[in-house]
Amino acid sequence: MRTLKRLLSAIPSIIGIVILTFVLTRLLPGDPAAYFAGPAATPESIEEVRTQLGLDKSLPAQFVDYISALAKLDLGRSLSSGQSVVDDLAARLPATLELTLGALIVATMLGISLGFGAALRPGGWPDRLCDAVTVLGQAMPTFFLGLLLVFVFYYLLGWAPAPMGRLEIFYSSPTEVTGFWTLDTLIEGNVDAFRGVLRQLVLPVVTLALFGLGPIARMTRTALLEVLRGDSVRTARAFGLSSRKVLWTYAFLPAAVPILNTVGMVLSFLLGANVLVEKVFGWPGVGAYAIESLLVSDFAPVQGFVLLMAVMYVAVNLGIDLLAAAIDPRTRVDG
Amino acid sequence: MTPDWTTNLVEARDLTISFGATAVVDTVSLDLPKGRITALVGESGSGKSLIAHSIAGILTPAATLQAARFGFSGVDLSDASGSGWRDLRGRQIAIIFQNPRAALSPVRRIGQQIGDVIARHRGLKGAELSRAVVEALASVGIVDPEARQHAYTGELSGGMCQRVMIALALACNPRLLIADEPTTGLDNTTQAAILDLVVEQIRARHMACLLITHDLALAREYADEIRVMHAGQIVEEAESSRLFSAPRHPYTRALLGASASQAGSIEALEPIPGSLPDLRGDLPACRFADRCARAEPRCRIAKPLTTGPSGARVACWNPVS
Amino acid sequence: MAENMVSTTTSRPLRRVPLAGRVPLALLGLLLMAGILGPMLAPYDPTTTDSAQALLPPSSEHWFGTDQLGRDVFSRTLVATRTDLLVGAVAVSISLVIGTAIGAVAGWRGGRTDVVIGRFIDSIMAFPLFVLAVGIAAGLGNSLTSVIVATAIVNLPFYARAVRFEVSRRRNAGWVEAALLARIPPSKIVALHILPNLVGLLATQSSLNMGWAILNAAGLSFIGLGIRPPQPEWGIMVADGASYIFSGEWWVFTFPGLTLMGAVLIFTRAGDALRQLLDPRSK
Repeated sequence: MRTLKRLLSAIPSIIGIVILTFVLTRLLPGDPAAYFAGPAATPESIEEVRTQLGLDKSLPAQFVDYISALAKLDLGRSLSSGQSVVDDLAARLPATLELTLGALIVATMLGISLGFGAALRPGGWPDRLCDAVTVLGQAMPTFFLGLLLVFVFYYLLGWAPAPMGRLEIFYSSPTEVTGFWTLDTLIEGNVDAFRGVLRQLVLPVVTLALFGLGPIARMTRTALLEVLRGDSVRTARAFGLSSRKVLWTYAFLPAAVPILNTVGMVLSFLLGANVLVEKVFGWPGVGAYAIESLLVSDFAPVQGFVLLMAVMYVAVNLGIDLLAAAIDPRTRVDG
Repeated sequence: MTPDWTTNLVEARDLTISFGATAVVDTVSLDLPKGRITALVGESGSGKSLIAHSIAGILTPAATLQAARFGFSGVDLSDASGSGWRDLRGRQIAIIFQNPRAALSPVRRIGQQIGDVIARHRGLKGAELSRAVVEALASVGIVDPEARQHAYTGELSGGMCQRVMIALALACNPRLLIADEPTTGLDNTTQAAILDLVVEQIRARHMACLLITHDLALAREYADEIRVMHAGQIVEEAESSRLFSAPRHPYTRALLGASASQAGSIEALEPIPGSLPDLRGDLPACRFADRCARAEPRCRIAKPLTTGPSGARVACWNPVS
Repeated sequence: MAENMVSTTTSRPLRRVPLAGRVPLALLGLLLMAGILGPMLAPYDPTTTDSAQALLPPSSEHWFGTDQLGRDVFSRTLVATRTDLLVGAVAVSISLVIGTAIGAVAGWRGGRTDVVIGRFIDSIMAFPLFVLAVGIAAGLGNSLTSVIVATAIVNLPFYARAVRFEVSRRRNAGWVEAALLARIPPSKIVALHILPNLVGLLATQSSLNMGWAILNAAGLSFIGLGIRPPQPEWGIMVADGASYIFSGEWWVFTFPGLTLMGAVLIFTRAGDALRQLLDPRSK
């Protein structure tokens, strides 16, 4: 029942996003019909294209067209690739997800460890590192960090492979099953290629992860300190439970929900920062696709990309809320 | 003076707990005899909770503890990090707190919390463990323990949370129960029900109990032995009946005078002059001297010895006789 | 205990106020000076190319080296300060004004207006910031204006939310009721009596947002949106320098990148310092 309620509460957000995306497409300067008809078009052919595209109709009618196309999962066609935008996005989404989720996992694990260290010994070195990472993560431009890492680890030290996509050319790319190449290479049993994929992932993942690290570490520290100073941890200690039990079950669990919420927020950062990181590392994901299209004024892919990202964000937050309710009964009270 | 572990479960001699240079508990000696309920009574801030925490092994790391002797049935309690000591906690010494809702974890089912403690100390698993959990809940009068064990504290009343806390404390049949202001924040009827339950369980299991309270009426009703604390010092130690019929320390008298249930009427209520002294400043040897009408010059210079027959001992140079 | 917790967490970034607070504020002054005087101080013309001088490493003559067209990287970085600060400042001013207005209306009116505006703000926030910026740039076309508008819209929710909260909190205060009875128009009450209380909050938020706005705008120009090449701008300079990483000419991308980072750091630290100065609670 509560789950259903929370699911329904996402609907207004989705409607808002759809309206906003529609408004964005209609803000387009100049005459899209003339644009789509090409430079050699006559006034008649422009009118023809206008009718074809439905741009001669009133705005509300256009909105209805837009919605019904959306309902059929039709996001239009990319002018540059000639493919349907949905197909293009679907082909590139796994690359983006592999990168983003990789970074999210790294940021979460390191962030929680760092926050733990900081909370257990306030003022100790993990605490200082926590501060430093936060400050740096706030101010460091993603793309600049990416390039610095490439310069140091590829050019100077030669430890990292060239920042050119998901796998160096002398490996054959795996047959796509999941679209996650780390998994696909393992499914094929190709350990060499798996290692190649990992090597390729390291720098972009680290670049992205550094941005998520600060907020997660800080929230872990704050939330954990609050619980550690509280009565329930004192009780657990007074009853002789092992320190591991005290720390994980009695201290970490009540702190998990604020941390989880921060992880959701970080994912939203990462989905944005992805666009830059994909460009720096030649990563063939949806962000790079959107940028390429944007630069050649091919707008349908960009709109599709924006819609996809927003829907993903809403979905992720929904998932996080449901997970939080499963972990912490206190979050269920107000439904 | 050798310890007497046949009569006493806990013996403390010259126990001092300090924060920096400030002795918040000042050379206190306290015995907890087996099978008896000892109440430690005093105003809030008198250091009684610190004594409770030091026995339970949860003294804040900011405090330092010194004692000539501080033992539980032969085990040294002054080094809380010792591993033998670890097994006392929850197994032989259990504690219940004020504000039980905060003292229990909000994100773990109450049955799981009790199960954690039973598993730790009695090594039970699976079906045996869940049976023990249900038994523990049933023993404190929780109706329908099978269903209630799945509740979270947020779904229970304050009184019910305290029952759960008591079930948790008694789950491993400890030999000592420390009750630290167990009824603060509960309404009057619930208070009585909770204390009746605690006392009934203690008597039935032949346990010793340290009852920490600021409420004299409550101590009178439930405790066998009373220890009166003022500003970190124990000023009077007496059997309950004796203390209330013939209080000897001026502070005890003042406390009784200030307590509504002792006075015949509101008009007869006498406030205690002054308030607890600031422990950080220069203190008279007897820390009550500045508030005491019977104080003599020597009270400020020399700490009064605790004298008198067993069952009616007082630390005062000029006691009421 | 709980209160104590809150104050320690909020004051953490600047445990050593006021000294640590003064340093970013002083640096902020320096940065603003560089923005105003930059073109006058630059030792070389930032756009004059000289192929004979291309890709020289840092030296006493060219402190930050030269780029692929022989332009002096130091001069370009210095001159770019004005562009980047201006883009950030214009964007932040727009979000400050519009966000405050939206927030004030929502907070004052309450009820359905508040709900609708709240939903709108939530929808904006549902887009990862950078994604929204890309989308807006797509809608408005590839121009400097769209970079500014995108940056402004992205930062707008912060102001709208803060102002909404503060206005609705004061909405029912006794003196507001009294002012209403005295027939002072609501717009006047809000503008003259409620908003002045928020100046500190908004100043702090603006300094923090300047950092993010500059970062955001530089990111957009890095991927080729907005400001066009010959004009010096930090994001573009980093993008230009990126290709020379592979031949080891590190200075072309490093110096503008570090400067950008420094500028963002100064604005966010100064924002924290301002919060310390203006909000005694967080001490």
